[in-house]
Amino acid sequence: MEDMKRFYSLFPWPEDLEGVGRERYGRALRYFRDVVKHPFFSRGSFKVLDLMGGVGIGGVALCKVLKEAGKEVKLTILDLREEALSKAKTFAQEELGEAPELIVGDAFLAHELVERADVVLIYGLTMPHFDPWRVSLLLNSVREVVRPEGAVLIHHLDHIYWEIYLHPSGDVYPFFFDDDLTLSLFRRYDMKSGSIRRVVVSPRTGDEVEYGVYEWNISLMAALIWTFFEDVEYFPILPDKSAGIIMGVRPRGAWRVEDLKLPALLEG
Amino acid sequence: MISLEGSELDSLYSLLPWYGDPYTPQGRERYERALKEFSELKAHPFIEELPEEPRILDVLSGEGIGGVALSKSLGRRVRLYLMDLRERALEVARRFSREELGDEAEVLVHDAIRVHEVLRDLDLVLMYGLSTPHFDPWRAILLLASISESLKDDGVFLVEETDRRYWVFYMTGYKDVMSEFRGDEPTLSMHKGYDFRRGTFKRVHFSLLRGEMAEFEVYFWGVAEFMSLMWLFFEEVDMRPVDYKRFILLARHPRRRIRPADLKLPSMLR
Repeated sequence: MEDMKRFYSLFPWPEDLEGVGRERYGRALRYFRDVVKHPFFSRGSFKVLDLMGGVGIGGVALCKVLKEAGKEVKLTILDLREEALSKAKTFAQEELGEAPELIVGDAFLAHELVERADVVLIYGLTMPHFDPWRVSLLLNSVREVVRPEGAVLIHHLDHIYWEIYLHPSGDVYPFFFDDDLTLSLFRRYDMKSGSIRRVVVSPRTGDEVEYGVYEWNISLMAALIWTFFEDVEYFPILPDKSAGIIMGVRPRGAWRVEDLKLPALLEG
Repeated sequence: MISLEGSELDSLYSLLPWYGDPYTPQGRERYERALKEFSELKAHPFIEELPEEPRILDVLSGEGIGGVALSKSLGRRVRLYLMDLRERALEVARRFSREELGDEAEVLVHDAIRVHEVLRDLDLVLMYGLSTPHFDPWRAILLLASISESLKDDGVFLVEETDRRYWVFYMTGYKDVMSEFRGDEPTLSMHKGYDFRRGTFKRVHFSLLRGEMAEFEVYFWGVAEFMSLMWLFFEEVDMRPVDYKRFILLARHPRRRIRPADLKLPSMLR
């Protein structure tokens, strides 16, 4: 498993809840106002799990929109980073009027760590952290958490369209954050996982961490969700439909968590 | 989902630089290469542990190069089925199997995503000829569910595959327009569109000599993508390189957690 704490200490992902973070929250509210028009959201109450929720932008936005629609909500946020969860607690109290349940833990063990939920949300374009093998493991854990008539929602971008077709450059990406520069450098392609191994480097401090990034499209993610959920729906959030929220409904009952163990060929 | 009729596939394959006919020099070369590759694969436990007289199906078989080569290289009596949507290709396959194996293979004009409707209790299903781009991920799942259903409990699925994400996306770069030669015949392959829901690139192939063109959709599979899907349908997966670009992906023991009847067209594709 990647060292995500170290990765996020170098990678400039906005986690403030004022400037860029507030804009992200505003966008999330807009997206979810469209999503909750789906008949799935016609029931009266929802237990929501925001998986890898960070500072809680996605989970708080979804719950806020559900509350606006007159629903009862209960929010749980799970993340590896205690510091992010501490911000999430304050943020949820401000926006929803009550503190969420917070769980420090690994999303792949969600089935062991949390009670069953009506909705599991993965928000923040998180999936490139995981290759198709690991996403299958993750979805199998999520499937176990989701109640029989529940759903998973995944905020997702078509990276093949954006990064392979529209802007195929990509050996070095510069990122600017608080006037600091961070570089992400191509290292190699890992065929067994389908991931690109990249190194993120701070030229100022010399700190670096290697990470894998898998360039997902919408289709493969949605089809994988279909192997664990009976139906799949898509809510585009960009006019060209290259990003959106994928919803899998009704977990398939035949799977067991213990069915899937990474095959030996991925070792070494 | 990607779906072409047999006549559309005939038209497409008449334009692509692809040599399926074993009675052409290039097709014969492919056949001989396949014989060598399967001879080397024979020692793999998934193949070695097949029953004495296995029932083998070659899906998307075209003119039968893969299925015939595998059967011949096993060196034992095989009950061979060849399945494709192209009747003309299967006529060639029938003759080729008779000449190479002594026994004529049974040919079936049928869609590979519905194998289980016509064949069961197979020992091995083969998909040879780098055929995965015909399937978007949705249809690949239908294919895997159907093949799992048609195999015995210890059945084996073999797929010839290459990593298009690496070779096309990362090494060459996706090209809007590119020239390709079918022998000496110049052709153009052109980008026409991209379908987000299916992940497919729509392209048009145009012969500059004949003025003919065919439109098709292609999904650029990497090895990891297709093999990880196979893993959702089979308990054991493995892979063997056959040259610097190609692999044989192997899977055994269908899980049958997802069965063909479970897969209703999702709302997203309606």
